[in-house]
Amino acid sequence: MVDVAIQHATQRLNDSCITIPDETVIEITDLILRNADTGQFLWKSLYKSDGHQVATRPINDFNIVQRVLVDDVASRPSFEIATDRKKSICLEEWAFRFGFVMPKSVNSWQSVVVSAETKDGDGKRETIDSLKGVDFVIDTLFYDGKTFLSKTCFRFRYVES
Amino acid sequence: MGLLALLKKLNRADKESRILVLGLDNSGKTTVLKQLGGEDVSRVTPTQGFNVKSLTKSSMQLNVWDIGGQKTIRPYWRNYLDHTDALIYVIDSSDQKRMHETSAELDLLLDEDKLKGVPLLVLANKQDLLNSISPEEISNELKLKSICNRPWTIRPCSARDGEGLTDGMEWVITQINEKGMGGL
Repeated sequence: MVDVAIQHATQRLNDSCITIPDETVIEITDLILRNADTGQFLWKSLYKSDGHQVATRPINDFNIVQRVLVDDVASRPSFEIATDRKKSICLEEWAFRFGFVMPKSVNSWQSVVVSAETKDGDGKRETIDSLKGVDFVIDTLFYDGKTFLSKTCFRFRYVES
Repeated sequence: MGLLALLKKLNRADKESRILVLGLDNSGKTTVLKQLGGEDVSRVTPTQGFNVKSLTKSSMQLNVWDIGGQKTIRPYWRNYLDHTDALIYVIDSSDQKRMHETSAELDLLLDEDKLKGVPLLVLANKQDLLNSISPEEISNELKLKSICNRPWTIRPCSARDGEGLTDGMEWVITQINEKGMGGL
């Protein structure tokens, strides 16, 4: 049995440089991973907590993973997942344009991605064994047009139970 | 039918498809989306902005936008109309006191240039409630039969238990596919 231990880190910029509607705060309140085949809940971030979190199943056991991003007022997020930042290996990268965002609103973006086939089926999906001890980072970057607003970082690590 | 099954039925491999879900507050828009996503619908809170569900497979993308329906939010609806491939308008069939209000909001939407010719699915939601009125009665209240400049239909459903949603969504996907092939 393999468990997932998650070390959570965040980084925010000073809001004073942001030129979007008054009192706008960019804040991810939850990041949720779910098995989209069954709706089964896998993991939820605890944005304001410290320390490690443990989920009971390795995420890439599943064919389809559903990510739910809940945020307060955001524009043009771009997700990036990297296994090793020093080597700058980017596994996946995708962007989504929200367009107009209402002042003082709370919005959610749920992304369902169908994963690659397993390597047994000539696909590119990594195996659990190859990921042990490797840090995963999910970076969420927010832009207003071309202006960078903020970045939130979630760090994962697969460990033996 | 879930959203992934819908994505697989889309023919527009090289294009993003955009479905907009609107309606008055408490009509059940977010519950419709959650039910289609196979999520728990027992705890749904009023939407204070928007909820987007984005499904991606290869080069195909389906984005479903649920915008809050409270009176203070409705003026912002027009900011989300661009490039809409289908409009789903959700109605609380048990809220007879607000039929006039929801009819007026729908009329305003159908007058928008950005929604010109966009297929319309009206979901007569909450059919599981005893005091709900039928799709035929809603159709009369909303004067749907006078709509002649776009494909439209009204379907009964209960977002809470998922009844009727598949039927409605299949109609939507058929319309998007036909539009992609040069139809209306």
